[in-house]
Amino acid sequence: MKNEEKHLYNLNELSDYKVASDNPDVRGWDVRDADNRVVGKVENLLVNKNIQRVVYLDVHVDKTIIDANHDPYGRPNHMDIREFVNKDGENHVIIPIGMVNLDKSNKNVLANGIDYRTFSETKRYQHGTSLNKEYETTVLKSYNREVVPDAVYDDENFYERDEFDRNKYSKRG
Amino acid sequence: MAEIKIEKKKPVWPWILLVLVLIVGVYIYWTYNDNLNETEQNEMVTDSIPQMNEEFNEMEADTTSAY
Repeated sequence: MKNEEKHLYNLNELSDYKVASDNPDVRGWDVRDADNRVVGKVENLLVNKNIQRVVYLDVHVDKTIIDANHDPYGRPNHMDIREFVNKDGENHVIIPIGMVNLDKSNKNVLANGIDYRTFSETKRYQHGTSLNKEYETTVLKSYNREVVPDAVYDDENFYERDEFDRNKYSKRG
Repeated sequence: MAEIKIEKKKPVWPWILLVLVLIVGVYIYWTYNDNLNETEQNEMVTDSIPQMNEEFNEMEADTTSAY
């Protein structure tokens, strides 16, 4: 997955940046779905330097999710079905930061609005590959299959979507 | 609320520079003190030599007069 201009960085690769001192570093925390089942572990934080914050959690998914072997939801029109299935080695998935709550006392990331099946049907990627907007949009479609956002977002204001702001996302119907 | 901000790390080099300056300062201080002590010791030695010489000369003079 290549993109012309890199807009997402693993925090690990930005040696001059760190999590702000009064914010939790959730790397290593368990990710739990709507039924409180562990679906993976946060391996990295994907940040956008322009807005100076984390926009996605990079989650190493649990083996049970991979073993469920569901086809991904929301195949783009131009892509062949064989290109779109989850392949071997694709064991990471991204979760927009606004779609989770942080349980600081137990060090858990709670994805209350995403159930186990949705996780297992979300397109995954191989760790180390750079992400593009197409993948991001596919993932958001998978998580938003019940609620389609009203607004249209272009590249400039992509991270102003509800999914990246907990307050806005929790107010969404 | 799930919001995680990032910030630029504060540069470490000013602290390294400060430590280096302190180390150099301490080194210069000790070296200067050592030099002072050495100078004082040298002066003491220099002071004592004429006295010894004078005493020796006096003794020599006495011996000569005895002959």
